[in-house]
Amino acid sequence: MVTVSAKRFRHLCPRNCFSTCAIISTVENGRLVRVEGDPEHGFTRGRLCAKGYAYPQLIYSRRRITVPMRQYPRGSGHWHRISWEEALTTIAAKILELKGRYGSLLSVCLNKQSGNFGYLHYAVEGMFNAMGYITRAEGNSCWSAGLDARIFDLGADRQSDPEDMALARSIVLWGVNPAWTAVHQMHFITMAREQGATLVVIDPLYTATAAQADYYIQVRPGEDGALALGVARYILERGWQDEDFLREYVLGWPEFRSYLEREVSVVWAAEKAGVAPEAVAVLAKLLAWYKPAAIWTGMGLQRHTNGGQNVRAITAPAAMTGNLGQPGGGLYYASQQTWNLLKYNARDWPPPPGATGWVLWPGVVGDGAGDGLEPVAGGGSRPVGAAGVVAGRQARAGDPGVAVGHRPVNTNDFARQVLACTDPPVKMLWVASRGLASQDPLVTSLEEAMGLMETVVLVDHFLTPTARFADIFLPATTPFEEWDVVLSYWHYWLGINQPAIAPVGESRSDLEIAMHLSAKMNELSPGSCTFPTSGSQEEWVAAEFTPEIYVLADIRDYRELLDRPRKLAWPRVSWEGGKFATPSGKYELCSEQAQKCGLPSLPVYVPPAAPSPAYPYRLLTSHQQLGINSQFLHLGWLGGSERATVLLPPGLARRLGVRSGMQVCLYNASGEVVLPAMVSRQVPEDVLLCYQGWYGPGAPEINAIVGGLMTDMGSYKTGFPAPALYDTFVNIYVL
Amino acid sequence: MGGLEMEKEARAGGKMPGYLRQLLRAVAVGQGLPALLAVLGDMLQRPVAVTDAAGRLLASHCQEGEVAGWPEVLALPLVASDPWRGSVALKGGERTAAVIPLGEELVQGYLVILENGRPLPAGILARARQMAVAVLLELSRQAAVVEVEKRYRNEFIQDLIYGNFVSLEDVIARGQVWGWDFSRPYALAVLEMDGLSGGAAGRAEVQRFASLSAHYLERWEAGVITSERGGQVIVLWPAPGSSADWVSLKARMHSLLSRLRSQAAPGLGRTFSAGIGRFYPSVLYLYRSYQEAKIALGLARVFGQQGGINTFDELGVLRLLYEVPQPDLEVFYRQILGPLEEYDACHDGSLVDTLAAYLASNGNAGLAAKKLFIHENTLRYRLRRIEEVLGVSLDRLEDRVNLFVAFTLCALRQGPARD
Amino acid sequence: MSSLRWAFLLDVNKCLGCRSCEVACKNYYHLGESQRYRRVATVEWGNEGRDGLFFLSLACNHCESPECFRVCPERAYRKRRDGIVIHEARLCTGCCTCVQACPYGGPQYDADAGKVGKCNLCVGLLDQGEEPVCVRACHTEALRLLDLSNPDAVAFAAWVPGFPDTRLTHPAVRFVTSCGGDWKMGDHR
Repeated sequence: MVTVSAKRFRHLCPRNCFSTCAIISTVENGRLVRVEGDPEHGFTRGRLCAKGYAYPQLIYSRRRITVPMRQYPRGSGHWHRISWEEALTTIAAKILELKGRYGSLLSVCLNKQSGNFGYLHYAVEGMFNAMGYITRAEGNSCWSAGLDARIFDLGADRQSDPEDMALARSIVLWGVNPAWTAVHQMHFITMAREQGATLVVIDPLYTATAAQADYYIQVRPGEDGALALGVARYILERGWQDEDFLREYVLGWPEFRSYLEREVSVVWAAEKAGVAPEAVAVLAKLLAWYKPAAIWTGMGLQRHTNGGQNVRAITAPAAMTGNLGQPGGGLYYASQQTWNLLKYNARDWPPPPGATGWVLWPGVVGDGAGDGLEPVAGGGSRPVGAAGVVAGRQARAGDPGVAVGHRPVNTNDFARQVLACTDPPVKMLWVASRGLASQDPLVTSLEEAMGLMETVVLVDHFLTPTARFADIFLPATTPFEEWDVVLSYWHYWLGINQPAIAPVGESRSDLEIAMHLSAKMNELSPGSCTFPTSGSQEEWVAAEFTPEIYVLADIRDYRELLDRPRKLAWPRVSWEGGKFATPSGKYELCSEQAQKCGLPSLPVYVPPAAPSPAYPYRLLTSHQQLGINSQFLHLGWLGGSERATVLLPPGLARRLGVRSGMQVCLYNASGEVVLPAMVSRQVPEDVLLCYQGWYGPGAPEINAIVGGLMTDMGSYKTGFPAPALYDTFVNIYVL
Repeated sequence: MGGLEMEKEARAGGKMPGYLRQLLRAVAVGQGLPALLAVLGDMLQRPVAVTDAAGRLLASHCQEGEVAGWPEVLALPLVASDPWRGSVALKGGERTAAVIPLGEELVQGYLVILENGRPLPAGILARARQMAVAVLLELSRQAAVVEVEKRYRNEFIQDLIYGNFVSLEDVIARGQVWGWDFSRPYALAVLEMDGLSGGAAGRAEVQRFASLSAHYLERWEAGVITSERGGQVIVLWPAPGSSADWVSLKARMHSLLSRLRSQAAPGLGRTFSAGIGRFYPSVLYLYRSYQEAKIALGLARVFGQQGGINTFDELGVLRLLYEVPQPDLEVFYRQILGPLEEYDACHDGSLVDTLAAYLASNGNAGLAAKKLFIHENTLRYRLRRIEEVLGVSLDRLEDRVNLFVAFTLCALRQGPARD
Repeated sequence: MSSLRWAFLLDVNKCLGCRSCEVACKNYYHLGESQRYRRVATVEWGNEGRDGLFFLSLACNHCESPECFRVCPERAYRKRRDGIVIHEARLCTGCCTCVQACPYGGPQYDADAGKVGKCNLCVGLLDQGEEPVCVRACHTEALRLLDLSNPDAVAFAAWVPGFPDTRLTHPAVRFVTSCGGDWKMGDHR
């Protein structure tokens, strides 16, 4: 019952998720009592996902850490409370000591990822930018291979309004499980289906989304490209391609056509993909005759050594059939197309004059974010040294003829690359918005890298597995205790996040930490950090807004967003009129950019990594329903009944004598993990499935055996390839 | 047809016939059914009666000196032609009668006109049908009043049997409005017709059943209260003060329900089953008795019984089984009969059916063999197999009990899924 | 003379198993850590070459013959005229007899409060003309309310695979399922 004293506040969920929900909280007597969806938001429509509804527990969890703490000795679990003053003094003094020792800040490393997409959280990057040049974990573990593929084909990562998917006549969900990971989109898909649209789900796993489909195609993992090429060949054989579109707007059709004629047959493709030839026919027919067709490519399928190539192959039939540039159709993936409408004010601060940094390869300066907004490398390949570390040397900014920047290490090969950094070595690590100890591939190698560190700072809400390596824990606020603004990589809505309650305990936002640390640095060494030391959070939010976004949102002041979110008047349809952002201005079936990066110019078939006799089973580690990477799942409300489990297909289970509930051991050369087994028809034969994430204290760490290989693409846009997480092979025995 | 006749007559005479006006006046001033029937009987010169939809006599009229011998309930066909002509059972014996259903889609009652050995002349019949309209009017008026009263009554009883009263004082006070004494305990039974289908037809049958049950039971046993809910008739039975008399009360309930079954059968065309809950000394616990009565009835349905009167505290092993949590039942069933099912599945055998038939024949091998259309030796061979597969001896009482229970569980585990 | 009788209606074809309903309920009523008044079950079935996966979002079914109500020694349960089975927490001693009796897992014990609780069909919201929290949270409108006194209600299935035996308690829940009426209990694995 809503009492008289109840107050309501608007929020945005800043998690790495398609939906970026608008949330309304209710506060009674200073306590946040519940959250609900904001009905004014046209995409999330007043509904949250299960994780979103669990926010009250996250805020007030007994396990949440709300005071600064120090662990001594590291890894002991002996944490004791310290004051913010002590924490910041220790950290600032350490940074300054390292700067004195090595003559630069390159021995200080930042590892931050997608835990919070709020613009004020870029203050973490901003704070270090404002100190000088450091070593930074760059690249992206999530979407980089697919992103490059799209850029080779389309020239930029743009997509149409996802709400218009409701207008599609056929919808192909290729390796994406929105019922779990983008549930709000299911409303628009359901709308299309109620208008008669056909839904195809292509996935190695029989997912909750697949259960909704008119056609479910169980593709062999990593063979998506073969299936797509089969579809292309089928279209070609029937002459169903849109010749006008190909002639006007597509580059490289003759080459691709001759490749298809020479190398691809429908029977071959179906066999490779492990599907019936009828499945190829169904897809071809839908793309050619049931337009507009919307093709949504998920991120799982590009986590293979041939992942980028597969994405290019998938988009090819869409171009052949002219399913681009019209409302309701087109290619969906994820896009930060609107993100530059905000200023990145919290991020972009200059280093103190004359700071010493890292000399990058000639003529190229990193964009600092590695977020896929702009290519970081003109040619795609950077000179690399030991362990694949980007080659370079320490140099002073302003020295004639050199451009200095941060020293990048691949976040996807973090431990190895950090270990390979010697001149200077990495001695301090700052971890924010990141659960590297549960989410990094081959997490066991972290141990050694962490051994190098003299100080590790972790900013988080909970003592995550990463906390084992930390010396100092700084308690972060949740979105309900801070101001922020967040944009979606999916929908077009703009909202605002206001604080509903005072920070719980002594927790502070990343922005406040940055301001306080900057003050402390300047106190100990005047001029050592240019990051502002004052200003209210709300002023920082205001500073992110640009005239351009005000026009698109049809508002004059950000405060109008406190009344309701607004939809940006961003073009509903991408690539309208067949104008692409590629060098040729056309859709590039044949990409010179790709070739320059050492990749095939055409979307030709590249076989996936294959299992070995020693490790005959592929291990997929898909996304959780009740967690986003290491977030949420550990909360009792969500994970109460969920435990890390390995799902086995019935046939394999029979062969191994495994029944649900038995403990099994998965192992490969990297390590081993013991888990309970569950027999499930959702999993195809010879595949094991374990949903990734942090299941809570003491849970098995599946990433001990995950990873090792890298994706084919990713370097062009994000600077580094991504881990080919789904090319993990294991063996199994029953305990 | 009736309307047309009336119109013709009215046109011919230029005004409404006198007898009709007389009738309508009787309706208008609310003189009630007896007055209406008096006008009608005089007009038709025949004994007439009006019943409700269940055939219960509402009013009758005879000419002076005549004795028709109307019974309380006339066994009338459920769906009558209009008019229906046939014989009806009166106290003095069978008489032929013309019966006019009152009401269009929903029949609210019947107008019964006794014949004098020969069919009513067409003219008389036509008149009777015109006059039936007036009777229907009166009936509807009364029905509306009764409906409202019934609704309040039903709501009160529903509140009572669904525990919506906090204090006994409340119940007693509310009961007094209806003339019921809830300071004394009541027993509770639930009656439900067997094999009833849903839909409008089923609905009409339920109404009829409820109406008949009310009529008989409330007459036979002073203080009985009946109410209908969800296709079932709930009977509240005044009980003597203590549970010591529960056994004799149960016997009396059994006997009256049996009597109801024989009395109501002709008018129903179906049997009914009953469930009786346990006895509680306070009406505040009637809700529990109600749930128990439904379970007794429901279990009988689950085990495929019809026409029985099932008492919750006599359910025995069935109730015990029912109270065991479903997963435990499943485990028990799997343990006892699982190997046999697996054997059948692998060998395309029929050992489960064989064993079921054997137990159902009380261990009589000859009878079981006959039921299964197999030779007795075959049966004996199969029984040996069964003993091997299950590792039991069919001569041991303990094993037999387990097997019997496991088969009983079958009914709890499976069966029709419809509500 | 039929009056309003509330039931949940679950469109099994539309339910994504996303569990928004489940956690929305926890969020609104501040349930104990282990309490889930509404729970989503996954039903994987395979039968004669047909395979499938569907989800059952289930809460208290406000049965016509509620076992919780029958067995509670404290008379903490009652059933309103509109069918809603109410559990009065103030009368509850946490004996859990109802928890054991309910075939559907409706009543749930909260160790911290020492009491049982269950879905009351958001009776407070409903009486104000609003929808229950779980219904409001459903992304595809798979979960709705149904009035069983409406003659059209008979069109819906009263049982689907994965749902317990309904024959004694007569739960007020109905299903939309493309599987039609040819299901038998025990069809699923």
